[in-house]
Amino acid sequence: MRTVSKHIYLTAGVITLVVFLLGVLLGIFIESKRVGYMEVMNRGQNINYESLQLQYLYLSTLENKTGCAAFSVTLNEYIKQLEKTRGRLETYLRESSMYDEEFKTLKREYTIAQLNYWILSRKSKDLCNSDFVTLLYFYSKDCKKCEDQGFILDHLKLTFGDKLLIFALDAEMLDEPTVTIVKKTYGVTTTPTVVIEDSKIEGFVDNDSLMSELCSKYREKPEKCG
Amino acid sequence: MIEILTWAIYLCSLYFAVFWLLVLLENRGRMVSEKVVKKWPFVSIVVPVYNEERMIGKCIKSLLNLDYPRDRREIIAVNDASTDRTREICESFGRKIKLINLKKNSGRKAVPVNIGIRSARGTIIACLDADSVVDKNALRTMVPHFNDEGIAAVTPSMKVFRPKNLLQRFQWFEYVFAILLRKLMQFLDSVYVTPGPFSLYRKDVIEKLGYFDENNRTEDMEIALRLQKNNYRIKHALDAVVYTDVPSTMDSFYSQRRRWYQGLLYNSWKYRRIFFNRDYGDFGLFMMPMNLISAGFVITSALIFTYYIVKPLFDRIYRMFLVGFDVGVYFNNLVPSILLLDFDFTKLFVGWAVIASGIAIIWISHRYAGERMKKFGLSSLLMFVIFYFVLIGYVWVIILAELSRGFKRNW
Repeated sequence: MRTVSKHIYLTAGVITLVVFLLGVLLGIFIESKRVGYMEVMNRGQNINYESLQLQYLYLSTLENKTGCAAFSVTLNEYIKQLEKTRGRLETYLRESSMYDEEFKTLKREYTIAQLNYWILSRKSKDLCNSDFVTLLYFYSKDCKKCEDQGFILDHLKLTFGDKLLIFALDAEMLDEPTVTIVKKTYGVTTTPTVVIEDSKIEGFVDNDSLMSELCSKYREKPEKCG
Repeated sequence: MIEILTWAIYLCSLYFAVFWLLVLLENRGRMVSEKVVKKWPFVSIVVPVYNEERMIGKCIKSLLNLDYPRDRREIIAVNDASTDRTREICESFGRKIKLINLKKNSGRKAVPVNIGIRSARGTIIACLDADSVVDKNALRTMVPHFNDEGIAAVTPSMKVFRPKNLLQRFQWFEYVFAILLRKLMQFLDSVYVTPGPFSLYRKDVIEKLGYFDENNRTEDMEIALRLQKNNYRIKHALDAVVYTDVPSTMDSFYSQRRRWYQGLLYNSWKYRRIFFNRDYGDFGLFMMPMNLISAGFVITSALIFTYYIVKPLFDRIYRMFLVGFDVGVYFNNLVPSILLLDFDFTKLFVGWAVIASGIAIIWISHRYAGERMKKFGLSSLLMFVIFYFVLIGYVWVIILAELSRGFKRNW
């Protein structure tokens, strides 16, 4: 009868398991750090919004348009920050194992923030008579075409810069009733769906069609519109 | 799916690395064994040779230079009807060697080997592929292992003979790694191949088991499995070195591996009763299954590796197509936004453990092989670590594809 080195198989198994568990624990620790980071970002984001609101109130009370330029720079900057953090939050939520609830609550806060900014930018557009276009983008998880659509929108944002404000909303975000209301308003039933100012385009739209749709909305055509 | 496979690969790699490190830890005091014998046994060195005019001279010279009592050894070259200058070169050694010329080429290495063994006078047989060169001290170091009656075969440490190009350097690293691995297998009584370059056998055992299998193209694996099946033990002599010529082109490399890996499959099937059989201890429960598992393992790793390289590339190109290859905007907005928090730390941690144990094993195998890790510079080593398993994975894939299409079995 030949020997079986049982103790080595077991020890190797235990060591492997310990390394794996340490990795998992580290992952959970990092996730808690992610939650913390997102909360800090969220707080900053709230302050940003309050500040913008104050600026808007000030502008509309004085009816003085000289502050408009500064306001729109800040608005753009904050929206950019918001979008960046939102993208990151989506990734964290997708990868989360222990802090699902925390991330979902955070996501709700970001959704509200998106909508706040969307409304504020539309109001300020009238007030300051600015020449930018707002775009609502409805996406959902497990929608294959959404990734492509998102990529095209990112590209358009890079192309048009401050002249295009994009707000991405998770169409399946049922925790937040406002999303449902907005969806109802524009009759959004599928993803991806894009709402440019007030006109809705359902389903995947290619780069060129979106481009011409956008271009038709500007008073002064940007360079890219040819 | 890919995610689960990736994790399986990670954890299996880690398990195997830890496993072998533990075997090493447990046996670290027994890596090199005694070198004294009461009386040097008579050794017959059998060299089967077919069209090896390039190496045969060097091979025989190295045998003549062996540090071993001259009257206790003989060299038998069996020329398998070579069509080049092999015979002429062998004859130039005159009566220093015994030369047997076969009239017709046998097509199988085992045939000339068996003919050589039958005409051998020694109690110990050394088989030597003609494309190899033996270190002066090898025989002296290996023979004392037979002091133990239960030992039927002893294998040497093989190194690559004068590696020139990258492919040969890759194989250099592989062989260095295999030296340690085979020694560790020995501690589990699980050596499953006694390689053609200078493995030693007890002649009476070979006779009893019915010589080398002449219908097998990997006869050196078959004989080792037969020894294992009959519960004979095989030892590995860590400090006995043999240099062997390895394929330098992808073509010859592929045909060599095809012979080996098909041999592995064929012989595993032939000895399938050993698999998971407790009577064969670690050999049955671990080594035999692991041989096949590691093949599956290397294939999966290679495919996953390709997936992770090719998919992002494909995605990127497809997406650029979506925006009409308008690359300009991206160059104007190159602001990287990476947070430390963005990394997947679980994977990083386990991955780090895999890499660390891998480096440890490579380092240790170089130490025991008496070689420097940076012999060919760090870049060769890195390329080996990153790409060699991919190469082997693809070789396996092609071999399996050929087999499934009923490619001539030719056994």
